[in-house]
Amino acid sequence: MQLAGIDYFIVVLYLAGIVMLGLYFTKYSTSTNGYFLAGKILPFWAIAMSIVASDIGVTEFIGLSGQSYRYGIVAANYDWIGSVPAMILAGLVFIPYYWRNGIFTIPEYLGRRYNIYVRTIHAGVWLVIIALGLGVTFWVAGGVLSNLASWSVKTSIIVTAVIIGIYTTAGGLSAVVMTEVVNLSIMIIGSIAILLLGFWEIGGWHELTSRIASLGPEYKNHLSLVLPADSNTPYPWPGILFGLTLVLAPAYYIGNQTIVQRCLGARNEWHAKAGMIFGAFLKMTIPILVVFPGLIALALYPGIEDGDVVFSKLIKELLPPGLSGLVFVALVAALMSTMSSVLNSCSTIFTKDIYEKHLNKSASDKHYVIVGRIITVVILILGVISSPLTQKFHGIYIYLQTLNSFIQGPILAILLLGMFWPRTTQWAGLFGLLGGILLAALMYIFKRSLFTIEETFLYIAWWSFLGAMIITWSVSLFTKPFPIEKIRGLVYRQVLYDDKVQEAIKKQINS
Amino acid sequence: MTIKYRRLLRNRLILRKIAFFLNNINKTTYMLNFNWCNNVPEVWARVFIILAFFIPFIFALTMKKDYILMGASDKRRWRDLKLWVLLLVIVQTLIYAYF
Repeated sequence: MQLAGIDYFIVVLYLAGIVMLGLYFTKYSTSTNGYFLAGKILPFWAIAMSIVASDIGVTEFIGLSGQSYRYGIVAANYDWIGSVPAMILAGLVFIPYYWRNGIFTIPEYLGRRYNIYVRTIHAGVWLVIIALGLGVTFWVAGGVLSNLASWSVKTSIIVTAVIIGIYTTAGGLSAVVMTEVVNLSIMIIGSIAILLLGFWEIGGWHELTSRIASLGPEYKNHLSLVLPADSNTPYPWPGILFGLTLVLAPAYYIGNQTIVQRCLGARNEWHAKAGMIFGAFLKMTIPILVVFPGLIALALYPGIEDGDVVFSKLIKELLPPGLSGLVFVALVAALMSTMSSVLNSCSTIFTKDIYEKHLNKSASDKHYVIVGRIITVVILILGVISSPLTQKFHGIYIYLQTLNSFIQGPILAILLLGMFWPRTTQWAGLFGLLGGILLAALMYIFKRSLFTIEETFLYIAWWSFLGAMIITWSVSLFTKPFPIEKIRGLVYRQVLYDDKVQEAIKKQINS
Repeated sequence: MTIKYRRLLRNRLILRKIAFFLNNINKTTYMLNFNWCNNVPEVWARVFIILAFFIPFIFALTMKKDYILMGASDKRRWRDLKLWVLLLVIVQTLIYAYF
């Protein structure tokens, strides 16, 4: 794709605007509360838009349209059944408790509910996965952008890194969230442009379905959200229901710092809850914007072998100059949203759970803000430097994703039992977490003997979750629980707004 | 008992253990790989998935209004998050019933 003069004008205008907007919010970032939690000023609509913008990266834009081209509308399950119920559960149960406790990070909650070991293990594993994954994401996204705009991969990476670095380092969470609001709006406008022009070219929904049906019997399930259990795709219904809906999705919306941190910066508890629920409404529209273009591409250009090129094919074939620039900007926006969220949450976890807890306990508030800023820059530089390694070690991305799927089930297990069962003990949390990760690793090693499906991560997530639940429950029965005072306010249905509880929470924070 | 016979017996025992292990692996695969779901009709799979939307909704119904509205600046009807959840569930049910 060659960008015309007007396209470059739009790109430059967007990049300059986003840096200025980000820098404007620096004034809210003078304390840890301001830098990491946006000074608790965020309204629900900004939280919702930010959650969705963080979630939809450039690889999702390209990948999901490619998946829907290959497997059909079933790819939309990630944003529908794989998001909506989990977001309701997170918004109504977990988020209010996180918010009331005034925590900065998920490991901090786990540390208060269980012990310092659970907190540090979770923080450490999360930092390693995310920090290493940043380089890979930079490389993949740089490749996509260079394909679209004939820029070099290096130029794409450096330009995006510098811009993200400026506003994320300076403005903290408030800058990240408010730029994401703009980014999501641009993504929606860009996707709608492709969608409308695609339907115009085909002749409407009815024509789309009849063209796909005429491609042959192998496309008969292309418009079905529920595929048979023995389906030869990554999306058989038991995997979608057990692995995605019951484990991976709740683990993502309840236990992922990048997502939850926005709600922690809400101006009050209602905005925190409403942000997540309104986010579910926005998530429902995402498949229309990224999955349907894949179906349109299938109807217009059947027979493309590599599904990942269909999105750029649509841009190239359907969009006139000006609109191409807008969609290119939408992809840059998707990349920047994901990266800035990851950077900000990594810096928060490192500063609060590693630096403040283990390295320097009694520094001033300003000192921690400076550390947060330095860490943001360091992680960004590491991400840029390590990105070319992806080319040398092709399997690294797969390994990181696999490692990530190992911890999702166990984390969800200890979060659920910790929240709903006061009897869950600190050692049960630790053994449940470690045992669940070990179980997932063993299942992965013996996957050829245990599973017949090609992509096993959905099934491994479910069984490791179940294993971690059983371990946590069993160990709890044989170990001594915390006194009720210690876990007050950390377990569901415990009254929070009486003086005793607030006193208990203050004690927990100070200890 | 001759040495040869002992060896034969030992080998047989080992073979039996291997067979037992492989048989169990087959059973484990049947369980872990959700092969037992192969016979579930598609319509039931769809019902289970739609139920996954209703469970959080029913859970939300059990919550007190004070809890839902905690922190809200007023008690206007649109701030009731249960209604938001209801709308989400209705839209998603229609989508999964259609596709």
